[in-house]
Amino acid sequence: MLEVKNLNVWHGTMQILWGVDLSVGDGELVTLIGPNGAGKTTVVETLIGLNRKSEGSITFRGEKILGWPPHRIYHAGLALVPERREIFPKMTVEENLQLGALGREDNGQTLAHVHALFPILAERKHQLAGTMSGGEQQMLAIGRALMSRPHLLILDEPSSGLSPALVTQVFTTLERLGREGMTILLLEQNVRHALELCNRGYVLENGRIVTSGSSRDLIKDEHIEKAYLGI
Amino acid sequence: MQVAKGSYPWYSCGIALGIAVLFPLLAGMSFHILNVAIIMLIFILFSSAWNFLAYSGQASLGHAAFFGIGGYVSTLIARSAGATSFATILAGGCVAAFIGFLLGLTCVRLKEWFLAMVTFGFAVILQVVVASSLAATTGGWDGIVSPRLIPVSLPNYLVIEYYVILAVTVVSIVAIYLILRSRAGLAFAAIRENETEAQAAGINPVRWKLLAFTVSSFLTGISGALMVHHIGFISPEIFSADNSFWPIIYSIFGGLGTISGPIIGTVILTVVWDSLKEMGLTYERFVIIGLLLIVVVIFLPKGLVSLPEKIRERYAQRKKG
Repeated sequence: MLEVKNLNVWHGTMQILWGVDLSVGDGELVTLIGPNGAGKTTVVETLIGLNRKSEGSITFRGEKILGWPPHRIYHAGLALVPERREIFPKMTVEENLQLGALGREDNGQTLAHVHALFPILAERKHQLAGTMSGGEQQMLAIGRALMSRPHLLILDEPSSGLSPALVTQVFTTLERLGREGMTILLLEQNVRHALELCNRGYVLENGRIVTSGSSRDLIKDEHIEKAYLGI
Repeated sequence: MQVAKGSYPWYSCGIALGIAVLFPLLAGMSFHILNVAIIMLIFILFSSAWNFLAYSGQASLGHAAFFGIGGYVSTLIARSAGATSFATILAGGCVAAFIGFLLGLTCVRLKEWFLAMVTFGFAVILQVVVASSLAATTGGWDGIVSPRLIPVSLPNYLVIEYYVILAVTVVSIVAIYLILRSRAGLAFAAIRENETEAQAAGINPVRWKLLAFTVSSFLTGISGALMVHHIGFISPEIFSADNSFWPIIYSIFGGLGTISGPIIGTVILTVVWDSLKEMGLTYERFVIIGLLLIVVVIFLPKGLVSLPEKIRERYAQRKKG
């Protein structure tokens, strides 16, 4: 599905990512974990085409997408749920969802599916998105990304700023999407939750992938235990 | 934005249209009042076109450029053809749209101040070019006569002119309404709110911003052509800053980003402007309009259209407390 090879990215003259290799197979749930400032968000920005200064290769469903404009990558089937759930606060819930399906004729099926997944979005459809709670906005952000019927769903820190109960709710939703066959790349600081949900993981520190492997192995890894799980 | 959604009270649109249609009868065919009303209609179209561009998050400080291009192109063609027609006005709109498209190409990547400065500068450059380099065809600063929209020899020509311009304005505003209600409206709103985020949501901002620029300059060109054929004269003064600022003032006064805002803003300010003149306050009215604008921006940042909502809020608060 997604194959990143030897990716180097700069912000201005400062190099942020150094030779990142990463792959996500069809139907796989993969997590990219790492501390603040490791470069996780830079990885996402580069994947969806927002970073110009980059080198290496990104192959998505057999096509080299590095250098494509963001809208083209989006329509190729790579959708992002941005950090801090950046929905459009002054537009209604319904309009936010329709935006996700822009450029594609929707027969209402996808909307029905999203409404089934998040009933709250059907109840609140005429409400301004900015007036909803943080958890509801997160649902909306995921719903909007799903409206494009993506092949790969990338989530950038979906748990940040949410109460523990809501975090559990978000992860339950992701688990359900995974069971339905969605391919997911999850960037998280909440390492335990992320490793419990996903099959495989990569650890990003200071712009480099330092460890990778199955979640089962990573959870037992001494370095990860010390640095992230705090035991 | 809900403004572009079906929440419009249709009866108030009907009443407004009814008044507009009956107006020449009410005005008792007064020459002066009809003239004011016609210019008001033209500026309603002009302001709506400017506001349409603002809807996509692009603020132009030089829309007089397209107003003037429409006027000059239509005038020059009409002069060589001997008469004004819908074709010459349409040609004015099309050339304005084309130049708007080209200017848009340079502007779509610019934000806020930079976009404002480029458009402002463009109008200034155009004024100089038309007044000097092209003086042989445009008559320079002296200007040239522009054939009237409706020949003065016809009986009631001013009433006919009023209805023709009313029809063009109404059709244009309906077109704007339909565009903003379509997917384009959603894309514009998303780009205006957060362009990076819109890109991440799969929207190509360049394409939509160019569309907004082209449509806006087309309608502005049409309004400029109507203006000069109504006045019967055109000079490089048409590119002056007042013509760039009036549509902005009208739109902000009435309510940015709404369909009715520019209409209400233009109607009220035109009436105030002209009444002040009747009262002999020819120069004082600049100060008065300025103060009015400040008061509205402070107390009704969403413009006059938000007044009923504001009153309702106040009333509800008073009931509670």
